[in-house]
Amino acid sequence: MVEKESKTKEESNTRRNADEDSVFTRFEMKALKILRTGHLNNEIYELIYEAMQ
Amino acid sequence: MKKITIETENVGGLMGKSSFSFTEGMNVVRAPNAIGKTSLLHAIELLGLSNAELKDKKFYANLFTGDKISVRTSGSVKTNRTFTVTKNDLVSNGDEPIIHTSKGRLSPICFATPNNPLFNVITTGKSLRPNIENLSSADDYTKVIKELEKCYTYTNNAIQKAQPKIAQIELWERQIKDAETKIKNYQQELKKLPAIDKKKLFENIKEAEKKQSIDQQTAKNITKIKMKIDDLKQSIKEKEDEVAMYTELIKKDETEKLEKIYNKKNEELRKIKNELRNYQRKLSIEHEMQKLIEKNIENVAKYKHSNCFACGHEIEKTALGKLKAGSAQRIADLEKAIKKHEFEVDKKEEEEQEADYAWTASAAAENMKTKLLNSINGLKSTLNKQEKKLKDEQTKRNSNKQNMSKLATNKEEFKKYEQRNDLNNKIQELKMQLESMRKHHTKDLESVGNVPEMKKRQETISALIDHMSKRKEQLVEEVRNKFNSLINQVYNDLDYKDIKDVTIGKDFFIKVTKYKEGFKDLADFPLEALSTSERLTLGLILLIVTKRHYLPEFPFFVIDEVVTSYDPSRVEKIKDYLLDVADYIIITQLKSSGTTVEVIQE
Repeated sequence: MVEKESKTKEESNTRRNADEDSVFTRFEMKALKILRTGHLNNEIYELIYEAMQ
Repeated sequence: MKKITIETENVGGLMGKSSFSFTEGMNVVRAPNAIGKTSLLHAIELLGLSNAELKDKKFYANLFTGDKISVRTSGSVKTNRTFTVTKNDLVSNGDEPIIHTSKGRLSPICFATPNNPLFNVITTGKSLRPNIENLSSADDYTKVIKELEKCYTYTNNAIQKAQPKIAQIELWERQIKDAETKIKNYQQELKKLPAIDKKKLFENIKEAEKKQSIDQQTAKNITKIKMKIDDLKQSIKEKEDEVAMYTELIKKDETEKLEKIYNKKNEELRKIKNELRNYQRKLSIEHEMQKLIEKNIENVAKYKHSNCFACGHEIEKTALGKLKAGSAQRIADLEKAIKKHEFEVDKKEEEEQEADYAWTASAAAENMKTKLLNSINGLKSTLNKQEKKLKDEQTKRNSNKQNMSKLATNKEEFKKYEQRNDLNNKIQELKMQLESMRKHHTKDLESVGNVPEMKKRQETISALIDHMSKRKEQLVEEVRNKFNSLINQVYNDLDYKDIKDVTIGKDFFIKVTKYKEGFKDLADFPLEALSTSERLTLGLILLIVTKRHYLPEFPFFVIDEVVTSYDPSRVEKIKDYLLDVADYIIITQLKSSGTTVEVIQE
């Protein structure tokens, strides 16, 4: 039971980390895309706001 | 065999239209200084620059604003790029660049000229990190990180500016939380209290209060009656005591006996009075007799004999004397007896009076006792009535007790009702306070911006900076590792006997491991320990590796004469390798004389 709980917790942590990673990766991709087609400027605030959600 | 022709118009020093043909493989561009060699290289560069990269490239045109330049190719690659000179930049009007992935790296990768940044590093022995960052797109990450840092600083400044207000905001937040908790607790308490029908409760209370009033009135009545009863009992007791006293008194004086005594005295008085009256009558008769005798005596004296005036009998003179003396004697006796009886009467009257008094007093006592007894009876009757009344009142009160217990229930309910009211009032008051505090909180928040939001943003920015920095390092590291592998592969392929290993260290400085002559062991050489030709060769190899790996699609690779001139034998050695890097290898050479730029295939 304890092992199962700990496994579940571990899975949950992994999932959360994955979610966070995916948020950061999404930010990274979008920021680089904007940067390569022009300048970041105020768009970065939108991307930060998006990452905050 | 692939061929390409580049036609230029007004590019740099190549004024007007010019045309250059290149064949797949090595091509040597020869011209004296200031004829147009570099401009041709610029024209080649213009083929690959994206619109964004045209910024600050006005000098390529060397013309006035509004003028136009063009680079057109035919052959293996076909394009027609025309540009307008603006205030600072060139603006592309025609075709797209022939590659789309240069990302500002076209010149550093495809142009092995003396001012190539990679060559600069090799010749000066600086860190390769900026170059590797450029190749790895880490520059983009740096830009994003820089922007993120700006945002972080901006946010941090806003938070710092808001700091004095934050304490107040935090206080509001604590107070709001407290108030919310209190409201929640009160609401939970409220849930525990039953819902009460206010109208019914108040009717019940009114009714119960009536009953209470009745009870109070009954209680008062009972008290009054009890007091009356007590008074009555007291009166009865007092009267009974009096009766007892009279009874005792009557017993002592023996009324009947006294009556008899009185009667006896009265009889005696009456008898003696009769006797007195008899004597007085007799005296009166004697006095009459005496008068008669006197008269008869007068008559006899006058007539010698005479008849009695009263009876007519003849009377004698002597007899009359005797009669007179006898009468006088009788009168004296009678007067004596009368006197005696009068004295007796007075005495008997006194005695009778005394007996009368004694008897009358006793009778009065009797009478009083009777009266008292009657009074006691009356009082007892009243007492009975009062006791009955008391009993009635007590019964009435007892029957009212049920309502009284109902009153107690109502009171309990009313208490709960009051508790409910109290709780509701408290909740209302807290809600008002809460509303006010929220208003202040919102106002303060608005005045400082949303600090929690800003803090969250700051945290997010910080996390994003971390992420981007890590990713940047990963990419840089990947490129560093790839470079290390690719450079050594080229060295192995080229079979340079004296170079064992070339490594870009973690500090991004190049270290060379050579087979040192006369030593068995290997030794690390810093870049500065290499000869110029060794360094230039190393730079060229680095560029070859970079070009092959990062811009394989650009069909040109330009090598300046400076690079080749130091060690032509080494260049010769890597010639085959070069041919694999791009379709058209262009080597510039300085020509001592001439007026045109000529292209010679080797």
